[in-house]
Amino acid sequence: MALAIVLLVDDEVPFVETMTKRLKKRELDIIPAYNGEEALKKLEEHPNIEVVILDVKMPGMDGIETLGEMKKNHPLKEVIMLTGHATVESAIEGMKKGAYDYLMKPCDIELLVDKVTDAAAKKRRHEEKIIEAQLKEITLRRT
Amino acid sequence: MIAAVIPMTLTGGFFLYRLQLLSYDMAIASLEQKALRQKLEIDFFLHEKLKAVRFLAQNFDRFQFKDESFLAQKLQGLKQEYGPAFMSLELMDERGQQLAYAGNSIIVNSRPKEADWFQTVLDSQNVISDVFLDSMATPVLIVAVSIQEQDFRWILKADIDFSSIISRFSNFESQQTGTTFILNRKGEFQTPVPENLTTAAQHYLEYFNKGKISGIFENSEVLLAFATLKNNEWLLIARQDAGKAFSKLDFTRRIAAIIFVLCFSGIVLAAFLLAGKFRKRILQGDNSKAEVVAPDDIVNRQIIESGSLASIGELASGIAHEINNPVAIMIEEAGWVQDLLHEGIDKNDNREEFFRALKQIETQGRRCKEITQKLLSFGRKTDSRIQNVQLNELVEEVAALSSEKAKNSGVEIYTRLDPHLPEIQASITEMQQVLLNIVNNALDAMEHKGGRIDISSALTENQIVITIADNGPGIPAMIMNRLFDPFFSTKPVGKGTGLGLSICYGIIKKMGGKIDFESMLGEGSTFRILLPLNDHLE
Repeated sequence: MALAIVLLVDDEVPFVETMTKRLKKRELDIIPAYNGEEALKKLEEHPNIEVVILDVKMPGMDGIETLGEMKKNHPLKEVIMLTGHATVESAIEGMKKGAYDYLMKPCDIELLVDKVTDAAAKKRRHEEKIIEAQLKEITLRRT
Repeated sequence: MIAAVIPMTLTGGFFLYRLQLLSYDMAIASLEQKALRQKLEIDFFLHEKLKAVRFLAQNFDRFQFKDESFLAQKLQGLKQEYGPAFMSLELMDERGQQLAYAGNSIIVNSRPKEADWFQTVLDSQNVISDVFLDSMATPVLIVAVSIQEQDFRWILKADIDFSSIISRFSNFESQQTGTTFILNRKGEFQTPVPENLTTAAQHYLEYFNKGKISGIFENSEVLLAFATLKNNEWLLIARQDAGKAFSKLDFTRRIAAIIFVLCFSGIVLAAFLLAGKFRKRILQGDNSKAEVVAPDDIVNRQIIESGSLASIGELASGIAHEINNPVAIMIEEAGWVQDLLHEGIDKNDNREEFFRALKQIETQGRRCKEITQKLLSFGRKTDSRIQNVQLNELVEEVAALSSEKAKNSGVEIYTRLDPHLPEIQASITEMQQVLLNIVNNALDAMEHKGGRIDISSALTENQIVITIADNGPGIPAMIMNRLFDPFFSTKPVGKGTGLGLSICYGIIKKMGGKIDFESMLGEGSTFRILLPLNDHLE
């Protein structure tokens, strides 16, 4: 079983392809997307996605806009922003909008894997707590 | 320059450092593999012989073995089954007295009872002895099994020729990839002493006893890998010269170094050239622009300089980002190559992947080179002298330089240029600045929604017309009159100096031309630069 199911979004095709292979070797299940619109579509098609790795600088819908749209329908999905040095400010803006963390491009693969697994663990804990709260509510109603 | 050089230096340094570590890991791993393979081979050889002798001892009794013709028949069977390594079979009593013998080994030892192996076989029923030389100088070892029958204990012993294993070690050496030898726990050689061995046998035992199974020793000149065999009684040592071990990956390392040195030099060259040209441009621009813009307004040199620097800063930031993308891909591909080498280059499709990744690194390196060349070609023309200028070329260059920023803003730039446009007398630097400024403003305005920019050139009776039209949000009517005013800006504080268009206005006016615009809210803006064909320069 994979460590986490990840949506990888970047407009640089060779970057996505190679990163996908490297992350798969590290036991992550990767679904690639090459722009913001495609990322949102993939998120609907694969409800089991746990973490999104999202490039900030993309043509069309950029990372920040994509993040905003994602959080509207999927508030529990954790998002890690990837940024070039020129867009750190945007990444920080992303954090304010609910991103889990950000990494500078090019990034260390092991660090990225650590962040992804941490983000996935946070998402699972969050979901467990929600289920727990719902169960409590049901139990209280019955008694 | 720093923005471009730092990532490149980090990439280069990181790649070379990791490659060095990797070549070390690979050499050690390969040596460990050799040691392990030989250990398995020798252990199999020894235990196969012991099992064969034990099988005979357990399935026949001593009375049958006392018959020497029976013993000779069994020896023949062993030779047929396991090859000529079995030299002899011998039946002994527990005092070491020979009861029967078959074979051709020439071992002179009248007192087997005093040998280590004899005591061991009585204690633990089985033994494989250390290697020793028989009287014909053949390396031999003893495999023996003892059987207790009521109150009588007897031993079946076989002499095993060890030279076939040693000859395989020689093959290993002849490939010049290293040396393998075996020591027992007392530090005695069980195989011939290798040539050029500079370290005493005891030192190898000490290395191993420190808990190391491999590593680099003897002042970093030798790689060693250890493996125990014969139930930890022997230590197999694979030894390789560090120089030879690292030679395989040296070539790759050199190629990588060359690629990075070339990229690095390209960037440094571009940066220095640009810095020099821009400085010259600013200094020359200052003088001319101050004359044009300043007569009515109090615009001093420093302010004009800051306007130029802002344009340069914007350009540099775009270029740094443009270079960062191929650099990120190169680093990922380099990491992928390391993953493949760790897994083993001959596994699955790893070799093809390895070459694909190298190709991709080369492609991205070329992409970096194209960016620096684009800069260089731009930088070469940063000359404020008045000379013949083909405006179509300048338009194409500005469109190319703005392409990355346009891509990220979701804007497409189209050019429609009149091929019959004549050259005009102008300063290349200043014309670049005018075009870049207007295109940058359009891109900033369309940053969020994208769109298109159409740049066209045309020739009328006595002038050249350059039109830059966008379908962005348009300019509100209330600010139209102030557009060319110095210090007027709609950009957030700190993002724009408000000097860009006023400088453009000054430059075109100085050339005897005119700059104007039309704009409709929600539909876009069109800037028009009109330049006279003759005698337009003051």
